[in-house]
Order: sequence, then structure tokens, then C-alpha cells
Amino acid sequence: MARLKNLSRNSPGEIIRDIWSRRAFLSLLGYSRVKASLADTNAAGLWWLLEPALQVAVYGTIFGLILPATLRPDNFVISLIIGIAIFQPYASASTRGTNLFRESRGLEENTSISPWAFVVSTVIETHVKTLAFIVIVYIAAIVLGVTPTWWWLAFPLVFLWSSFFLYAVSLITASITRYFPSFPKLLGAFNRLVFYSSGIFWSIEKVLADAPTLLAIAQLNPVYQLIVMGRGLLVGHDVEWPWVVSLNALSTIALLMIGMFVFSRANRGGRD
Amino acid sequence: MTDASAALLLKDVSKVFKARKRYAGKLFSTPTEVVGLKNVNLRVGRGEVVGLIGENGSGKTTLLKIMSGALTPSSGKVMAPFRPRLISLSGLQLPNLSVLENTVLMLRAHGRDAREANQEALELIELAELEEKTYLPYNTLSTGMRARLGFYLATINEPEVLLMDEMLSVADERFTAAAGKTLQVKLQRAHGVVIASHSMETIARNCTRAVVLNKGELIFDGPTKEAIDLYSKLRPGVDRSEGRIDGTPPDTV
Repeated sequence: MARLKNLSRNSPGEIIRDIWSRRAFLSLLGYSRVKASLADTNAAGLWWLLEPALQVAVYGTIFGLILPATLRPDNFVISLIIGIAIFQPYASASTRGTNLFRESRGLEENTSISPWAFVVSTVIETHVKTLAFIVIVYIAAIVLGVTPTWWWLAFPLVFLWSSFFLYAVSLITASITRYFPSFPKLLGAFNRLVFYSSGIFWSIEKVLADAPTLLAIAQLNPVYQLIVMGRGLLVGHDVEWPWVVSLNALSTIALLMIGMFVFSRANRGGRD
Repeated sequence: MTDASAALLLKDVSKVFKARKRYAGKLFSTPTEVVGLKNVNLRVGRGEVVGLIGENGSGKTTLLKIMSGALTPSSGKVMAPFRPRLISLSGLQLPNLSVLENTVLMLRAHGRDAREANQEALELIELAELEEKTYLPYNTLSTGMRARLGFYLATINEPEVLLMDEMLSVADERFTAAAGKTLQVKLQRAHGVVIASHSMETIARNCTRAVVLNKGELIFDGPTKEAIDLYSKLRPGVDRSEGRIDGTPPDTV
């Protein structure tokens, strides 16, 4: 006769085993959500590529015209495109996290999939959307005459590397929303702050050259760190790799620990 | 009887929801707590079919969700050898995708591989008599159609412990009769069953024992007839002879 198990608490090992055993479904779920978001449009599949392309075109035109050349990153246009491409998954993961508990409810009831696993599916969904940006980055790099190198092949790894960071972001925004339902209203403003302070449009190093303390604080931004890595691989910007990778890893681990702590509290707190 | 032989065991389970009170004319809402369940102790033995009776808001659905793991209790323990499966009509729905795509997705969620899921999805759609809707968006289905498809999706596996929450209230009579046979088979095969229903006829016909919930507290646990009698005293409108609560159509399951 099978032993009774306490079902009210899942151990971290059980959660990881559950996520691993459902990996095929979670991937399909992420892909299906992207497909569903495009299903009602004309030429649905084309918008997967067009929407990010339009974003890049709008930002590139506006900031290309108004931003003084002295403050721009080197190889401005491609650097801008890389910046937007790397920021987008963060924005998507943070926003999707705010709806997580509500959206996962029905699935949990019928299949016992835990919210922890659902967050994984959110990250996968984010990556599926990001694939379009990666395609645009490569096309733009070729069109703009950036010299291809073997490091180009490593560029998508920046996005893969960011998966744990995105997971942490979704956990945190889901948890905050659980206790503070107005948070999604604030998140938009916060993401604008991250957007403009991540070095997408201007070189943080040039803008804050005379404010070393502020520069050090700005460099703690994980999105900025990922953008630096992306530009280093594709455009050949100078990057202190050990420092950037270590800092990003530490930031990610810290955010992950915070995310797991608050999410386990929020998950236990229950949903209406 | 020992705890070790139980199919499902709840020990001092409580659930408190955080909510916000909103008063007309006031700008800010005020936080409050809503007690969903209070110190519920329940044992479902192997082979038992336990009825869960209570008026709306008594905590039946909350209790079932805690049993299935969809909700975490604020305190207490839920113990079982295997995770119970809640059969309900909610589930993942991506309304813009087709009926087939949604069905395949749910089957994949239940552990089917890609090839199995596609074949089985077509069979389920046929069983639910929705062949003409196979490739149409899911949001073209009526509530009753969704109930039909949802029912067959919810009963595809054979869980050790089965939890049922008012399954068929939105379906038409012909389907309800057909689905009843499927449910009877599931009930016989499960190691333990908990059925929540407003239909006293359903409870009386299927349950060997029943519990009554009132405002989150389990106030009775014993023979089905006595549970129904107690509930009818709490709710004078209950028609015990026909198994109906005023305003609720008879359930033919």
C-alpha cells in the first residue's frame, strides 16, 4: 500500500522534478501562447517579425535624429537594435508575471501543474517572441556592414543565459501583484526607467563619465549587463568579460533567491 | 481504520483569503480577510465515495481545490498516496486557437506525447459531437459545447483519487445522461472519490458517506441520509424527495 505524502508542501526537489517531467508541455504552452496572441491578426505569422521590426525602426529613427552623436554608443544603429532586442524579453517576462496566478488557476485545477512550472512556460513564451528580434539583429548587422565573426554564433546564448534572470523577474512581479494588485500600473513606469537607464540609446559610460558613483549603480542593472554582452559578441565592443559575466551571475542569483522566497510566500497565501 | 489506509486525509486544514473591501464613494479599498475553511478534518477511505454538501459559499470548491493542490492551505496538511485529480470544467483555454489545438494542448498537459495527443484529440472532439467545430476557434463554442468537451478532457485519465465539482450543470439533458455512464465507470475505478453537488439525488445515489460544510466549517460527517437531513434543516428550501434545491434543475447523473 502506497504511503501517505504531505501534499500541502512541495519540496524544491519535487518542484524541479515536476518542471523537468513537463518540459515538453511547458515549451508547447509557451509557443501556443505566442501563436494565440497573433491568431486574430491578418497574416498572423508575419506580425511575429513585423512588430519588433517596427519597434526598432521607430526608436532608431527618433533617437537617431535627436540624440547627440557624442552620447551614442559606438556603431549606434546596430547597438540600438541589440539593446531593444535584449530589453524586450525582460519587459515581456515582467508583464506576464503580473497575470501569472490568475492565468495558471484553471490549468492547476485540472492537471496539478504548479505555478512554478507555469513561470517556466512564461520564460519560454518570452524566448519564442524574442526569436524574431534575434533574426532582425542578424539581418540588420549584415545590412549595416558589421563584419561577421565566429562570436556572432554566441549571440543567441546571451538570451539563453538570461533565462534564470527572466524566471526571477516573473517570480517577483507575480508575487508583488499578489499582495499589491495595483503593481501592474506602476510596473509600466518602472520598466520605462529600466528602458532608459540600460544604455540602449546612449552610452552609460559617456553620459555618467563625471559621476562614477552613479555609473557604478547603473552598471548593477542586469539588463545593462546583458546588453553589454550582446554588443560585445556582435559588434566587438570592448567588454571586461569576467567582470560582466560574474556581476550578471551574482545579480541573477540574488534576484532568483528573492524571487523564490517571495513567490513561495505568495503561492502559499492563496488566491481569491 | 488507520490513517495509513486512507486514500485522502485532511488534518486541521484552514484557508484564509486576503481580499479588499470596496465601499461606494470611498477612494481606497481596505484590506480584509475572508475565511474559506476553518479546521477541516476529513478522511476518505479507500473505496469510499464521499459527498460534499453545502450552500453556495460554504467552502466546497475551496476544499476541493485544496485537496487537488490547486490551492495551498493556510494551515494544516493534506495527505494522500497520490495527488487527487479535480475534475472541473475550467482549464487552459486559448480562445483564439482552434478547438483541436486547445484539445491537443490539454492532452499534452495530461502527459500524452505529440502523436498520441493529436489522434486522441480528434477522438474526443468526435465523442463530444463537435466535429464541425474542429478547426474553428475555441471561442466559437457555446457554453454547453465547452462543457461537453471539457468533461471528456477532464476524465481522460484514471486518477487514484477523484474529486468532482458540479460537473454537468450547464450541459443539455442528452449529454448529461451519456456522461453519467462515463462518470459511473470512473467512480468504480477510483480508489477514493469526493463529489460536491447541490443535487441531493446525486449525493444520495452515489455516496456512501457525506459531509456538510457550513461557513467554512465541517459540521457533520456521517451517513449520507443523515447529512442530507441536517442540510435540509439548515436550508428549508431543499426538497429531499426529489433531490432538488429550489430553483435548481434536477441532475440526472
